[in-house]
Amino acid sequence: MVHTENGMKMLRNFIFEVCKCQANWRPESLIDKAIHEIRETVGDGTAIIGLSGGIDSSVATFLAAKALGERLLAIYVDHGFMRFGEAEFVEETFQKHNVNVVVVRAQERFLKKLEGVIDPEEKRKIIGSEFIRVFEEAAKKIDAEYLIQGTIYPDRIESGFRKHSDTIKTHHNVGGLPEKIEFKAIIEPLRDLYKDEVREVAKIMGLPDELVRRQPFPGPGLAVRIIGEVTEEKTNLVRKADKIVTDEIEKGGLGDSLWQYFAVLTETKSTGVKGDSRAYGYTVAVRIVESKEAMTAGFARIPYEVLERISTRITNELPKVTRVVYDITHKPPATIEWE
Amino acid sequence: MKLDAILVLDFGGQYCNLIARRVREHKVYSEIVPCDITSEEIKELNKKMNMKGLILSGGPWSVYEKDAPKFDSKILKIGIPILGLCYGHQLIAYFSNGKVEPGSKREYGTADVIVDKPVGVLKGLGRKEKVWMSHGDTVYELPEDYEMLAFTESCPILSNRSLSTQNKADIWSSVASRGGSHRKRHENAPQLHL
Repeated sequence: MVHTENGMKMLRNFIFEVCKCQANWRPESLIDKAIHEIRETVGDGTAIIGLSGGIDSSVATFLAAKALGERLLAIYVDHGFMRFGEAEFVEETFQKHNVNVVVVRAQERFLKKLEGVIDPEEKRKIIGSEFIRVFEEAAKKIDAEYLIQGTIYPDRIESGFRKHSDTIKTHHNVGGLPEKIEFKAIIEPLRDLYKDEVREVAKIMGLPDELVRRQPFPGPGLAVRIIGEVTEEKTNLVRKADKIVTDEIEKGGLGDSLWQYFAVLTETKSTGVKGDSRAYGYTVAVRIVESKEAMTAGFARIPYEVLERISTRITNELPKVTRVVYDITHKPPATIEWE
Repeated sequence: MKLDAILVLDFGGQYCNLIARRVREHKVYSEIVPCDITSEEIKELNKKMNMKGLILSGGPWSVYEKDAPKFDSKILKIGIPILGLCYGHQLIAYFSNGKVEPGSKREYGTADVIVDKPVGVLKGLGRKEKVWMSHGDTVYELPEDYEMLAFTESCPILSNRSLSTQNKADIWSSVASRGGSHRKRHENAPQLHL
């Protein structure tokens, strides 16, 4: 209706003049409410949650662990395309906070499924469905009655409107969740929140900074940062290159002002000279973008010295890489990720 | 202690989904529920919170559209204040025997609104206000027991309120920036900045 100021005035009028509400709500009450809801639904039962290490599932895990203690089990599926040290970091962090967490390492399974696959959509689909299968197998062993998910409000919009009480249809950033397992109920304690409200809750709950400030990371992980067929060798290369990009950006104190910074292993091979001999190796693309909400993004104007350090380190530390390029495309027309 | 709360019925308005968030910014709890929630379910929720008001959001529908979302009209008699925005405004008129028609002149962009009665929701607004509009359907005739509060040149009833005595509830509604008869058109509709 009314643009900006008048719209707010009318909303305020409705809340306070017409409805006579008391302004006594605090973001902290979200935490109490979520914990209460989880306890009430689960009773003395058991629950599991799929932990991805992203902020949504991390916050949901902390809440559920607070509500259920030992009766919650978090399952972290490591498909082998995680960033450097990520699986270990997640495991340690949550264990340190007394959360029951199980890491399922399944890289070989995923690599096998991806043999010969070059189409990006196909890759995503394969990883998504394999992910569900691994999660299902782990969940079945545990035989939990309830499933907790870190779905937030924008996820619900994406997957269409439906009642949250409806039976078991789910959202997950790698594409759906177990359909073969029956749960008594799915609990989504963050279902009404926006991303920055989730961050607020995370801060209030005292989640470690590294978890709160993490860069967005695609569900299929590094697999979509390898153009063409995914192999173990390429995965290791892109993981190391990614680590170098991350290190150098954060060392330069640039991390906070950037949306994402990472490396892509392209399919292009190119000639180089290393030492006195010609080398023929991989080309790594560096992608660094600024954005507020990911709908649009611009390539970041990174100081040349930082780019130089990134390029030098990648070619020095990864002998198989002969060339490093910087992606200077905005979104649109390009997307942030290459695949 | 039960918190005061405002429930937002979400009809799929792209911008209206910020409403709950804006309410929470005013330190009042707000929760979004699907638009097909029943009056019984609302009463059930009322056990957990102090339900002080309902907001019917906008949405990309016309009340005459076949696949327009279902709405339990008993909600209008539930006895707590209701604010209908854009599609919600038309929906209230439709279910209260007002007359909703596809607007003869569509209003997009800014329009001059004459605020006839700056009371309640419209309190503090000037006699003439610029508003941001984008709507196709228009409420042409007031529902019974409603009074008109504001209008524009081409939109006779921009805002109205219920005077019904049977209805203990206050029902307020207004055209918001969205709410017309075709979904496609709204892809380019201006944003609502509540």
